[in-house]
Amino acid sequence: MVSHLLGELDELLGGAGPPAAAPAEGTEADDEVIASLNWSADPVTAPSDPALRRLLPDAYPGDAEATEEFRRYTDATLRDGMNADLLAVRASLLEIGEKGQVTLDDEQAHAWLRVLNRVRLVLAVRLGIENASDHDNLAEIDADDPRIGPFLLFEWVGYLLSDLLGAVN
Amino acid sequence: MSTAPAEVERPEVDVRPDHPWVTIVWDDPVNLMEYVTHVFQKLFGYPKAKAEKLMLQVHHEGRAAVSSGTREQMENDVQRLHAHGLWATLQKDD
Repeated sequence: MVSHLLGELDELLGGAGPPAAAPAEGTEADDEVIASLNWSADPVTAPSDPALRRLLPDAYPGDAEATEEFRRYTDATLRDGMNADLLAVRASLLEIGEKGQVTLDDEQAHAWLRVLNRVRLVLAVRLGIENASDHDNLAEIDADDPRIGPFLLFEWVGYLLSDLLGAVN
Repeated sequence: MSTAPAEVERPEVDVRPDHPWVTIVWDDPVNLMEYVTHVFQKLFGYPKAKAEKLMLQVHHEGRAAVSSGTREQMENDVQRLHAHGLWATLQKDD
């Protein structure tokens, strides 16, 4: 089940992303600096998918220009980080498959925390959870409501996240 | 009609290096309270009591300023908070 969720997150990151950062014209040294900054020479717009937009929110409310500039400097790095987290979680799932258990170091545990949290954020957008009462209303839905599956998943991932936090602290 | 030179159209940049900016974290109905507290401790090195106080301020007041400094420092903080799934923005301190 976790593996399936990771696939959906992976698809979200890969499916709706902007083109990869293009190097600006310049000297070789300039190119190296730009590459090391993970900076996009082209404009980077906000993701159109609301779930991905929740993961990559506007940094400057009410200032579209500064927000766009912030995205140019941070978007690729943030996406790379999210993909690296997914890879780390996948690797530990494989290890569980092989050995029946896995011991996470601090870095791996934090990759898990971030991924579980992202899964919840994405499910919440899909479920339309925008405030506390939306969540309370979902807790009251009938068993034949099509939202019951995603909602139970949302709650279950919350328990996993809470357990893991307890173990890390 | 002639167009103005490019540099005239550039936005004004605040060049005062000591001008304080703040990073704001906004409340959302999804992030677990204990997770938000943990992220504040991890990213900013805050003691648990301070991290919890800020988390509760976000929860009850809808937002809290969690760090302050130069614009560059605050952009870095916002980026790190986004990497952890928190809804963060930056602005000049009022």
